[in-house]
Amino acid sequence: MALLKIENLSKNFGALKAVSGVSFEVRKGQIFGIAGPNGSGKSTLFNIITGVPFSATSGAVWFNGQSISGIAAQKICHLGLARTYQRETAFDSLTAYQNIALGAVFGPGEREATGAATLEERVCRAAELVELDRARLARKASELSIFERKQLMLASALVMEPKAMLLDEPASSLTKPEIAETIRIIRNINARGIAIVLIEHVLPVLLSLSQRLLVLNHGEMLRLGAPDDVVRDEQVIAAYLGKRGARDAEAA
Amino acid sequence: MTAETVLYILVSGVVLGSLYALMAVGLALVWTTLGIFNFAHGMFITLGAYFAWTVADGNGLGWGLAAGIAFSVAALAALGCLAEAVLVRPFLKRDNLVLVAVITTLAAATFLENATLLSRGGRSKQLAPLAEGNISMFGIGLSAHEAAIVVIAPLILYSVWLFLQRTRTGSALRAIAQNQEAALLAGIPVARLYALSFALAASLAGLVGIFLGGIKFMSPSMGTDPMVKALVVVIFGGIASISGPIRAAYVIGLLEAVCIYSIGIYWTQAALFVVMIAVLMIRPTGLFGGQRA
Ligand SMILES: Nc1ncnc2c1ncn2[C@@H]1O[C@H](COP(=O)(O)OP(=O)(O)OP(=O)(O)O)[C@@H](O)[C@H]1O
Ligand SMILES: [Mg+2]
Repeated sequence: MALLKIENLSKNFGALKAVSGVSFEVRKGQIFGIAGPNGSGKSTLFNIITGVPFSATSGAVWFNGQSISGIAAQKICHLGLARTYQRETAFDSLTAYQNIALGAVFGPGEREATGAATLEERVCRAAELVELDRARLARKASELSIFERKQLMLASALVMEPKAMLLDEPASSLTKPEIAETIRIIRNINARGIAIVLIEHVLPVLLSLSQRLLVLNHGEMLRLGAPDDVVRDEQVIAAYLGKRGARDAEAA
Repeated sequence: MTAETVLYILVSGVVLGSLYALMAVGLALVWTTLGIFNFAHGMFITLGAYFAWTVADGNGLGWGLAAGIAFSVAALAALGCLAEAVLVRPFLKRDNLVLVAVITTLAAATFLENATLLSRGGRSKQLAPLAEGNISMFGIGLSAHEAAIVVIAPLILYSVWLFLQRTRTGSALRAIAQNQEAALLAGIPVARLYALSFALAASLAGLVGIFLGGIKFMSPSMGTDPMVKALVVVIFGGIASISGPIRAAYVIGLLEAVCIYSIGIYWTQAALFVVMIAVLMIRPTGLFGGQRA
């Protein structure tokens, strides 16, 4: 059964169709990749899936068998759905520890927190899983490096014990070694049975992680399928990858 | 200028600063969490004094000042929640919330002021002081009431600071102020915390009313002037952190005391605005403001 089911989802900003008739399913524990040119509606899709800060113009979102269109925003994470942002987003004047702790305290809602783990244990475990140095936890979020802020964002989502995570360009503006580490971190998260919807421009990340790949163009679904097939698709090459990108994808 | 005069100016500045700080912290809290300016804040001051008077004074219930303070603070917390539910919550989804809130809170302030005038009359009332008598220190006389304010205000401010820095709810309030979207997706009950910040701000304003009511005669419009000052303080201090307005409050209090002494009360308000404008021209985020909290 699908964990996340998107049905004919659309979002208009005035005359602009930012997302138009998008449908797909993500199964439990799956990694589902989303690619597409700048402005093709990828981030908007995440916004309307969570309904924050705006909801879809039309269409439906099902999570864990329940319709979540129109549900109160702070309840989304209680159902087990978490997201990260394209820009490193954190509560800047709070310490990294406090950032993660907020998710641990408020995130799971009525659901059982794992076993008898204390708050500190849960925070540290989340930090460990995203390989965020424990010594950095006492720092203000604003003092962390870009990569550390990305790790913090992942830890804050992870600590809510989600069933699925929506990751918006987790590898953007990172160095090669950091990208390699990010791939490893996402694998480790996924290994805990957490489904991942992954928006990414960095092709090697997308191709090495995704089991399914969706390419958006002008808010519409251009192609959905196995990653290898999708990157060989004429239309995808023409609209997004370009000839060179296609060769890189082949190599990756 | 004698040493006594300097000391006198200093002490009156600190008394003023203490009151402004209690006001400004509440204003800033609502401002940062909800993104609106609450014009009913001054009425919370007035009602704080009148509620306390009604319970404490012999012409009211006559239960004594302690009971008056306890009732007043509790009543203001409840009133703060109510104000948020009625004046702000129905309009949260609107793009012009900031503007609507100006109108609703101003309307509420006017309504409450007139209701106070009608129900309590214009006859002058005064609250009992927190402590009786005078204290003389280093050759200057100071009422025990004012001395109590100087001591109690920082303790209250410190508690608020601890609450915001050290508790989960405090962290959540700060999180909302910084990024509401991310706060919602972290499961923080934003609407409930809006009510809480209103309640906290109203209680603090109520205390200011109680303190003021022991210094001068109460009137239904007694909160207006402190609210304007608190607004100056918040803008002057910036809202990057809660300590900005607190520090600014004491600076403004001292400045005001100096102005009153040197150029007279008549020009003081104007002088404060000139200083504020000058500061904002040099530091647009306020005297103690970095980036937004
Ligand atoms: N709040 C908004 N109001 C109006 N238009 C918007 C809004 N948010 C996004 N858009 C528009 O919707 C389109 C899709 O934007 P979106 O951010 O979803 O693209 P994206 O695929 O995430 O791009 P990128 O790869 O650059 O992150 C763009 O044309 C953008 O300008
Ligand atoms: Mg995007």
